Amino acid sequence: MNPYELLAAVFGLGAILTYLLGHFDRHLKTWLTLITLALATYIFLHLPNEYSLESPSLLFGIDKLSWLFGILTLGLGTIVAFALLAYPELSPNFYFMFILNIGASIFLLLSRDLVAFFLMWELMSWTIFAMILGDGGAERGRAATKYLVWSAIGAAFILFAFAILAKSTNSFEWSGIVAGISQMPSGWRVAAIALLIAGFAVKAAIMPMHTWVPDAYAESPHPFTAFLSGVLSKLGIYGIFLAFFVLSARFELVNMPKIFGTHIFGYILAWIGALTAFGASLIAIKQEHAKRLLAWSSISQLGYILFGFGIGSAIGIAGALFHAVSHALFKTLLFLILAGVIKRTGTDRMAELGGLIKKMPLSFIFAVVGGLALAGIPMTIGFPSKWLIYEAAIHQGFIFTTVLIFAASTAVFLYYYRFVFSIFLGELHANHQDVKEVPFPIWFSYILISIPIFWLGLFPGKAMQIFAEIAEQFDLPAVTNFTATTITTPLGSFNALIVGLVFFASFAFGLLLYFIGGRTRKVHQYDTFLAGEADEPVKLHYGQRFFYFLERELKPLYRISVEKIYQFVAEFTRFVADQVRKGFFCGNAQAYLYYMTIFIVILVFAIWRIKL
Amino acid sequence: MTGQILWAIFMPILVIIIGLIYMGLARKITARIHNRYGPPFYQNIIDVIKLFSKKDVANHGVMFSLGPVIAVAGMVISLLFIPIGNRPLLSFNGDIIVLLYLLVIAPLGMALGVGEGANPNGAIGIARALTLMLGYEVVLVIAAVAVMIHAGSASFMEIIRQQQGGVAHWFIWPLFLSALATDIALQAILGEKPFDQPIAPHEIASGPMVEYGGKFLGMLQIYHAIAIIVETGIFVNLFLGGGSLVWWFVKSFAVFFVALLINAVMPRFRIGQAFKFYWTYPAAIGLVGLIIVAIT
Amino acid sequence: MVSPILLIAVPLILAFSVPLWGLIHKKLEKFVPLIAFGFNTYLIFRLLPFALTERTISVVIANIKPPFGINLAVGPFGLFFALIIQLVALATAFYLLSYDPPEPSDKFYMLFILLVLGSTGMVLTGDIFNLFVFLEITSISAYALTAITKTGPAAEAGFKYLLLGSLGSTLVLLGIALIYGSLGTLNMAHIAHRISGMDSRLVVAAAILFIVGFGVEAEMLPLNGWVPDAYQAAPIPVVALLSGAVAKAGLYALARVLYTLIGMPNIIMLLLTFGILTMFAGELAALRQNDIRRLLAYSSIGQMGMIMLAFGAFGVNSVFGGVLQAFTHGITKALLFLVLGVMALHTGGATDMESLRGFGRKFPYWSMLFAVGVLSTLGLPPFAGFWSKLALIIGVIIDGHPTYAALALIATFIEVFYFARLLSVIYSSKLSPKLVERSIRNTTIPLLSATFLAAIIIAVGLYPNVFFDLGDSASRALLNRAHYIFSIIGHYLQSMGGV
Repeated sequence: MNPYELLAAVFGLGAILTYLLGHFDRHLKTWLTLITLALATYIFLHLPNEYSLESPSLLFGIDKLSWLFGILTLGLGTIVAFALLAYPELSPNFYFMFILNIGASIFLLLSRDLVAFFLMWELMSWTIFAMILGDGGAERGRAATKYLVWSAIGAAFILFAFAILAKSTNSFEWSGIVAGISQMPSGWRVAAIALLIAGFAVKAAIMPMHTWVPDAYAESPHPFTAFLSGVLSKLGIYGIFLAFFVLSARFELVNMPKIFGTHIFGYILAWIGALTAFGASLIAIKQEHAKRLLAWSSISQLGYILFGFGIGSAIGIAGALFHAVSHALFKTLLFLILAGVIKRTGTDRMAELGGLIKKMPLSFIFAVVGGLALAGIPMTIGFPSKWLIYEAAIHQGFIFTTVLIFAASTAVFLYYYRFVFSIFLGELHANHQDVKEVPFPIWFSYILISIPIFWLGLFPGKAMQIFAEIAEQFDLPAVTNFTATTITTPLGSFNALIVGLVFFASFAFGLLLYFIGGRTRKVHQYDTFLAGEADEPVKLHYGQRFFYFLERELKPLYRISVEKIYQFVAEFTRFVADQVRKGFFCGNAQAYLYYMTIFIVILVFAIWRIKL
Repeated sequence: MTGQILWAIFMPILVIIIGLIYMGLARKITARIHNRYGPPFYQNIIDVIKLFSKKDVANHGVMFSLGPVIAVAGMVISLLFIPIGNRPLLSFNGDIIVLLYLLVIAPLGMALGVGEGANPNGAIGIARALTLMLGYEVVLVIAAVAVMIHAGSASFMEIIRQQQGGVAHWFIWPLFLSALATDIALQAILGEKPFDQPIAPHEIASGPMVEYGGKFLGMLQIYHAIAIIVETGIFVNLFLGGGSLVWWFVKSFAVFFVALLINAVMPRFRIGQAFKFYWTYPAAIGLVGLIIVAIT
Repeated sequence: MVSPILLIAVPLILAFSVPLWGLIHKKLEKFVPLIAFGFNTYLIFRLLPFALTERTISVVIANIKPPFGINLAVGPFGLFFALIIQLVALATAFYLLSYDPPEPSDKFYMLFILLVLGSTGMVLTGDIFNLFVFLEITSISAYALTAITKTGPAAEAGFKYLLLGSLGSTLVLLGIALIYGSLGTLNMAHIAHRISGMDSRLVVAAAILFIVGFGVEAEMLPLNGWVPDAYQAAPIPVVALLSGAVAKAGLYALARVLYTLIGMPNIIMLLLTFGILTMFAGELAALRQNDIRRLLAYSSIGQMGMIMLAFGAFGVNSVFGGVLQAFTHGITKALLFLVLGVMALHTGGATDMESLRGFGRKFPYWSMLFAVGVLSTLGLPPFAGFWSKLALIIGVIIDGHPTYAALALIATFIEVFYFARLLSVIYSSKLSPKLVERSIRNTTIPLLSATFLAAIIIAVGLYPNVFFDLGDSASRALLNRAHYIFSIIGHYLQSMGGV
């Protein structure tokens, strides 16, 4: 049996079996999911190059790019599934959708023609809807509905663009489109690619298609949000890469103006990415709910990736792909940690949390790890990717956007610290005195994700190798000047391992100073500040409106919101809908007869016009 | 190679001592401006030794104790990546952007430590520090990008190399606006008035340092000492052409002196005012400088 | 080969035999539709291979050859629609086995069979007056069945339907009269052959009359005012048929008349505009609905609009999409209505969204069936709706009408919104107080019936190739006027001296 068919069978059977047998035991469904994913990963790693299905005619194949995103999906999917062992309350329904979703994502990455791609895209999209809906609830329903409508809008763009491409190049397959696209009139070509990117931007949470993200992330089942943000948003990135670099045949033959040597299309994309990164990170600062904070952070980081693509140089593309990988890793980690916290405390409102470092030290440690990666501190995977993007931007002369990106990056420190402080540091809330650490499956998954965070942070060359191969495969500029631990760009170089080793040396120095100083005594929190003079718990936690002074200054910026436009459109549609219903379907039979008569008259006029 | 390692061990110690002397000199000069005598210039060294010899210091947990350790470690590693006296040490293994991110490790570590201390003053101090950082970092980046474009490189050694050959070659002349913006940013980075909101002794009881005593406070003093050298050092390397060891420290002190003078006479902004200030005037100055560089 | 005439003859006989069965035993009456349509479905499957060969078979009645006699023109296009009608009828007939018929029950079953019979006749006939006759059979059965529960709303709904429908039928008759007056023949192939000889103003007039007349059945705007009321008041099995079979027959008639008989591309392209208007009207009206029956009715209007749009694009690819979508819509809507019927049993008859809140928690299997229907309507894989919608949109774009395709896609956003909202209510965590686990009669039979329809949707979704072949032959057949004319009256024309 062909490996592709086997893979499909594994996913399909796995989903059905998990659903059917899942009712019998609380953990069986998770184990079945894990087995399915493990099998799938094995088959995936051994897939032959091409495969075509006869009926209906679909074409599949695997290349380096698909491999990269596929490993990310399967790897993180398996880790998240493992963490799900601690969430037996999720229904078998959820696992069914989960397996289907991963299966659709994998086959999406393997698709080599329009129909297969679109089929998998839609399948992947609605299973997300089902998973967001989860157990139901008014807010969840709203968030899920908003998601599905946006997803439909994105899918419509994609479908329309695909149809245009298919019609113009007379082919439904990637290879045919790439070959034929240079024959298209340039206006149509640009429009099709732009539509495609806009469609994928919905999934990739790029502004202004991002408004579904905060609600959907906040309301979906907590461990699922990790997968949604970490992995599924990357499928949108995959689509954008496909559209912009592969299908567009690089716009080489199109006479488009260049700005500082960058194609104007890329320039626009870079600006959109930079604005997304900047705007979203500012909004993240003022969030009071941890999940929403991380959601806006995701939007911001995805903007980085688009920015890297827009720059389009070798370092830019490598940096963007690298950032996709690193964001997948650290965001999944952070959301899983947050899920663990919510599991133990029941809330994600940062004003109600605090001091959990005393009860959940492991979670804290990994929250720091995740945060270091998010902030882009050297030695973690977050740094090389960001570094490459900055180098690319400065090298290509993107001055204003670099400033925006950097500002976004600084904002990360702000909201990240808020996140860690409000949850883990500060004063322990009175309600949480009995909180325990997260169970084994969850903290073990933290460890699993942290390993590549450090490994690739210290040896970024391993990842650079893959990115170079991807770039070469698609005839894109590739970064070649790197070793296992060093990357060199025209602007400067960075040796990750040395940084790591030197940091340890410096840390040793710091410890030396520490031990020079003699013993210390652990005291209660009230001891120095309140001079030990409080009876009842005094709320000392600075957990609310952490950056109020900043928000005050940023008010004019905060007023800019694209959500208002969408609200207006929705209101208007509702209004029109009401008018339509009252007008056309008023229930009055005589009115219907009038309409009929008028219709005849209209037809007469219409045909009269056409014929004459 | 061994020379490198010896220098790598010796230099931080040298820098600590010099930094503490700078801090002592600062107190002396400020006092004189205020028409007082002030403590001797080596006072800070004595303070540190005293702090380290204190017994019965309070701590609030492991992270709390590690905070100052990481702060010192972060600063030391930043130090090792800046060429001092034109000796590159590790500068070929990391450029300006690497340094900017390495500089974050120290405050981040300390912030985490302060967090476990659970003192609201400390948390407010950190919040202010972060807000201020958002303000000045943008200005710093604008200026740094201008330098990088002008020099065509992000490597410190390359930038220094291009400034060799006399005062006329220093970047401060062609990049005057960027240098000005950087200096304004430097005021906040050093934590000098009018931008010392994070510390704000009168408002939040020294902010982050409030719970730290004894050897922790000593380590924080050391951290601050290294930080002064590092931060002024960035300015020296980017705009004043680096220089041989002695000249390097002279230039560094000159920069510090300017900051010191401003600190002695100015009151403190509100944090919101400070942030808004950074995102308007210095940013504008920097941007104009950047555009000029980009065009030429 | 089995004669297609049996598709009409057998149910006809069985219809009028219902009272006889009733005399033997009341309970026997309800099996008659099942027998009739079971037979029909079997027959259709026997005939399907011919549908794939793109030949049009002419079945001569009473041995009088066309163009003088009445004939059935069983071609791929007609057979495809007949297939849709029979499948829906079969599922609904099965559903009837556990359904309490309104009194008088024998007339109910009789009218039921006649309704399907009329639709089947409409799609299989080759004679235009015959088409009118079957139209009348269908319509009158429909009017009666709508009002059969004899409640106030039912009577009102039936009345509105009657009003619009009979006016429509009259207009159709006028159109036929115009054509007969000019051309002297009633055979569709002959008319098609001769129409170029008719005064073009008369042709246009006839076209207008036909569009309005058949448009009433096909739920075109602004003739579809009767739809929401009728769908709400009629018994559930009847609604399933109205949406799944009758509307399709009306659409077939419209398409056949415009494409084969009149054949003027300009007039056909009017369907683009009216199709998109219908679609928007339907989807927008559905947006504000809280009653699920009315919501589905408006959705039905919207989908019919989309299919009309596809037919308006006048190209092989778009008609292909339209034909496929007609199939999917028929089956899917029937499924949705049948499941809704069972849902209503659990709330004591209420079908508004609030009463059914949380249904998914208590009855997962039924909700799954409903969800299959919804997802297929939205055009999501792995259901049949995905392929049909994909083919439709891509077909319309390839045939040169990208703006209309774009507008259709915009209309689907509205559809996604209200269906997503509906699903989230059904799967809500809050349980409606009206949802009692009533000890109603055994729901196995409706379950099987609904599962049958869902199975078709899923099977077609996973293995659409046969589906594509059928649709392809059907669309080609519709556009291939010359072939149609030749197959029916070719011999006659040759005998008259050359074609």
